[in-house]
Amino acid sequence: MSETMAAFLVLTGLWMVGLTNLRTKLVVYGVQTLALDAAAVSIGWQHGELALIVVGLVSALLKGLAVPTYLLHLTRHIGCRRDEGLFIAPPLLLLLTVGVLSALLLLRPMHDALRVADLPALALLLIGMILMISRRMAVSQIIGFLVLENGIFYYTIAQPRSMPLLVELGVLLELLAVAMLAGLLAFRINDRFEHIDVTALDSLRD
Amino acid sequence: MIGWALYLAYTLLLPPLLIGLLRKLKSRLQGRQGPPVWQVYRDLAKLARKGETISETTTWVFAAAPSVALGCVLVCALSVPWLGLPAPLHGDVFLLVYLLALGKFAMSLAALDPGTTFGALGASREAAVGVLAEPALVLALAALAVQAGSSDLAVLFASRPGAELGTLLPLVGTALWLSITAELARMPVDDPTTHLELTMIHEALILENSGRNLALVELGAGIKLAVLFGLLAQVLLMGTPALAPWAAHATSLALIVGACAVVAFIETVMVRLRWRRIPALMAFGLTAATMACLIVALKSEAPSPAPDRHAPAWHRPSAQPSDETTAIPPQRSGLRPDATLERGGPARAVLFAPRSGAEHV
Repeated sequence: MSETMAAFLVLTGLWMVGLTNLRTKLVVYGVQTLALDAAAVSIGWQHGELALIVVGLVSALLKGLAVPTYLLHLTRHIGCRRDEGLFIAPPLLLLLTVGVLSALLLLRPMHDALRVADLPALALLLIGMILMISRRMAVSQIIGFLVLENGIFYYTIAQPRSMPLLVELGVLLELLAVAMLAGLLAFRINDRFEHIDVTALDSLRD
Repeated sequence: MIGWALYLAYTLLLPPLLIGLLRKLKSRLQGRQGPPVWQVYRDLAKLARKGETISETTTWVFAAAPSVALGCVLVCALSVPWLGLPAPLHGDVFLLVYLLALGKFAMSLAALDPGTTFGALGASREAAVGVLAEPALVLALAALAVQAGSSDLAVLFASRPGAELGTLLPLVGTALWLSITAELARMPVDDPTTHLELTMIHEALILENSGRNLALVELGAGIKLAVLFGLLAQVLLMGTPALAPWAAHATSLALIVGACAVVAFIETVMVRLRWRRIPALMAFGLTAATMACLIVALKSEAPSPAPDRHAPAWHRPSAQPSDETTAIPPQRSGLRPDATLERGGPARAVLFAPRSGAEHV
């Protein structure tokens, strides 16, 4: 069950790499996060770990619902629907992702304790990084950061000994703050430059 | 003998019914009455009786191509265990892929032969989609083959990936689904009901065919649909514990019909993708298949660490010892001795180095 969920996470991550519609991407992110939290809650239920259940529920509320809703509101407010301005075309980007993911093969000799169950988490982390560096719009980069964080979260719940409840909750709260701040920043950038294309920020302007 | 009779009967009789069922379902979902389920049999009979109109510029290639394509698909149908029962011929992953490609090649040549614009357009598009869809199919099946230690389809589908490889089947299933819908010229890639020649892919290929020629093509397309969905059903069945033959057979048939229902649903709620977006879709399938290959490669590369006594149960393979250095029970090694004995000889076409525990090959 947990493995099927892991495959679902990787597949939705890859799907986001190919998406150009920002709204769809945010919805897919929300679904992915809710699935991840469902996995956390079910694992916590099976093993009687209250911490995992609490973290899963709080994360579903904050990351699964609040953050996507806020970012959807932001995109509607700014009026940017698509992130067409890619550095690389989506098909090529997906193939490049294959290349980046094969970096996982290098992990084997370095880290003997690496299990097959950890691979999807690491893959999701790498996918998040690719999402962050490949897109131009500020909102896409926020989504990339959030997906990266999903990868880290999945890695922690897949570990035999998970982190203390307090640390997890702190990370969640911080994440919410980061998403809000980044959204606010994107909003200000849009206010000042009338777009959120971060590549255009390189050129000086009075 | 029974295997031959069974497979031939299913191959020739089931596909028109499946296509009829798909059309009926689609019509009902779209709020139409739709043609009766048996209509495809009548259509085929009508086409077989009718005369043929052939362009004067065609050569023997045009006349021979539908038979070649149908022959390829028939060999596929008799060598892939798509019904959940042992197939009469020995099937192999690469044989399947090459037969599909050969059939497509023959049809593309036939479309180029009369020298019409739409045929050539369809041929070039079909080839482009084929080139994009094939790697995902090959890699997805290759991941399963490496996992099973054999590229023989019977051995491959008899193997069961352990709990540790649970991520494998969803990834492979997604990649296969995408490349199969492209192979069958179904909705996200191609619209089978389009009437505008400019937007056609597969339909433009067979614009010039008529009469018996067209009947062969239609029958071939139906068999391909049944066999490829059956292949997908076998992959999904790998996620369940080994079933009795009749149960596997019944589940396969149910899954094939279910796949047709899914296609009907998708074709109701979705529109065809723009031509420019197809590479992204196919690249998604290819990436999923490559991820599956990566997971298998990492699994087979080194022995897994000793089981952690403190690890929660979801990390431990439930019933089997997870230490790879101990002897693997025969049903986990993927090469069941009885599966090889049934065929009256050692398993053929073992292209990949078998893993530990499979030395008897």
